[in-house]
Amino acid sequence: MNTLVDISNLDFSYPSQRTLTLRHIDLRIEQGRVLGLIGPNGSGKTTLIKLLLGLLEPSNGSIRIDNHSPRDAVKRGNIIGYLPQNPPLPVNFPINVKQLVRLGLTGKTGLFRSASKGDLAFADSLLPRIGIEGLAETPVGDLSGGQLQRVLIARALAPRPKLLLLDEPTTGLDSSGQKMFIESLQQLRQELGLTVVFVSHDLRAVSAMSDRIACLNATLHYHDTPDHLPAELVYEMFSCDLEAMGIKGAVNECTCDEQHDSGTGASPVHSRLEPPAHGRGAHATEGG
Amino acid sequence: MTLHFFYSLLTVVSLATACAFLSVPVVLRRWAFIGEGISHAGFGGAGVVWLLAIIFPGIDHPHAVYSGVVIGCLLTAIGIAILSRRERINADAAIGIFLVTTLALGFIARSVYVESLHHEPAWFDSLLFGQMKNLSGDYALAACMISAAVTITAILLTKETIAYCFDPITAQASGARASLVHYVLMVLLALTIIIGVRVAGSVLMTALLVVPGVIGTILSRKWNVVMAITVASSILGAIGGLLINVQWRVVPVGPAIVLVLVGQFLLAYFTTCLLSRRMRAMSP
Repeated sequence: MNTLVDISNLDFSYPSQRTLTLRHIDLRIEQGRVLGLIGPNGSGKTTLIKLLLGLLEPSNGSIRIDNHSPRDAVKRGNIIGYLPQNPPLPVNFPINVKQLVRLGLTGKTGLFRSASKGDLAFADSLLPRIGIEGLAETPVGDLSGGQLQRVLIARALAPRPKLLLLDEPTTGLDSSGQKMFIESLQQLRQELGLTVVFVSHDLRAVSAMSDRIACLNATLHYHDTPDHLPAELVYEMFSCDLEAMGIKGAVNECTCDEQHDSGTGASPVHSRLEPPAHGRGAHATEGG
Repeated sequence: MTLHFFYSLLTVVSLATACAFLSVPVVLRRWAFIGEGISHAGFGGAGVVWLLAIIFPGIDHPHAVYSGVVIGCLLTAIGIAILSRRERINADAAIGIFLVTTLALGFIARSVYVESLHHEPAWFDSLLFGQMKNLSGDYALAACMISAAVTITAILLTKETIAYCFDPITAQASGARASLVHYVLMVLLALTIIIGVRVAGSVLMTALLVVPGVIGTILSRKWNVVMAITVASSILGAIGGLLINVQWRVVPVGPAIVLVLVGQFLLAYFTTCLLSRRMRAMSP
């Protein structure tokens, strides 16, 4: 399999901070795979997404996406599709669903040009694929949170990107909305051969659709299939065990804090999770 | 129709057209404060020329003062664009800093000028409240050309502007040249305000950039219809204000335009309220 995303020896710190927000990240993502990126709040997940989008520059190391720098990949308009963490609430924004989906073609089309008929037809064809064909002429301000999330996914997919970056896509969706979202995303992924990076601290959602999970907390602590995710690492990162998060079969609706307070007995042992003694993060390759 | 009326008509219609094409992005990006910031920067630019005129009397001329206004507006627009593009300062704060700084500079310069030369500096009243007297054909032609440039640029960048207004970060992340749109919009605003301060003054310029867009967005939720309504209401306000000034000379053109625009806004607002109440009553 070809490597689509190659992150090598990446460090990043914000100008106002002395400590590194991300350190020694080595990560490769193969084409067609789904990587779930998990970690507690402030672990650097969204920062890593911003680096992949070229909105931030690494302090050290490099990122290559389809053999381009992130900025070049973004400029091409058809390599990366992106769903933001907090999409705007478009009250009274004067466009309809169809126009919003077509906005996804803006970067690919370029300045002073109109989108090709083929691209427009593909963008329009996404509406039935994500189950919103009946809303094509609906003003975007009339959409529910779940409907808007689907429309924004369609916008991200409109330029037929190779890589889809989803930053907390299930936040704000109820459980049926999440299920529907994951099902339609799985279907689209198979149809379009997409590579997906799915950022969330909702382990249930991540494990439901990811081939691999990467645990991030400033550095990369784990990168493997969801089945091998060590309970100790989850406990350490989220103060909550796997069963409480609905993974490994058990479904329990209690919150992490409740679970933590009740004393699940899981100890924060993490022998295989520590970065190697020389301080480097796990060098992770999608292939395992 | 006198030549002066023709020049005035050409200038206000040009201004109204340019304002209309920028008004919808200004409303959607919540940049209502921006007209204030950039137009008051013109006051600061004029202040620098007034201070220089004390030392170099040769430049104490309306044309030199207007050059100061142009440079002040453009530099401030670029400054606001740079500061607001970086996430560390939000747009409102950036505009506020420029607004108070340039106002203070203008008032200090005026005070020093009056103390030194014992008369009001050129353009002082015109800059604050607008002035249509002695409007030249050259000015009307320049207004027409600037308006054409603003309109054509805004039309050519329509899809990028919509993407940018909806969500600048996602637009940037999808390769939609959001930074370019951001800076271009700021420069177009500065150019439009440079025409507008002569007509409406720096105090009322904001109204011309905000009210037409608000009228458009409350009457429709389709982009092309919103733009058409915005342009129509802006031009109607400009012509209406000019005609009021012709009929009653005591009413200045700038405030008259603003009052006509506000009248249209109230009509649009209450009409939509009435219609939505009726629709609610009719629905089962």
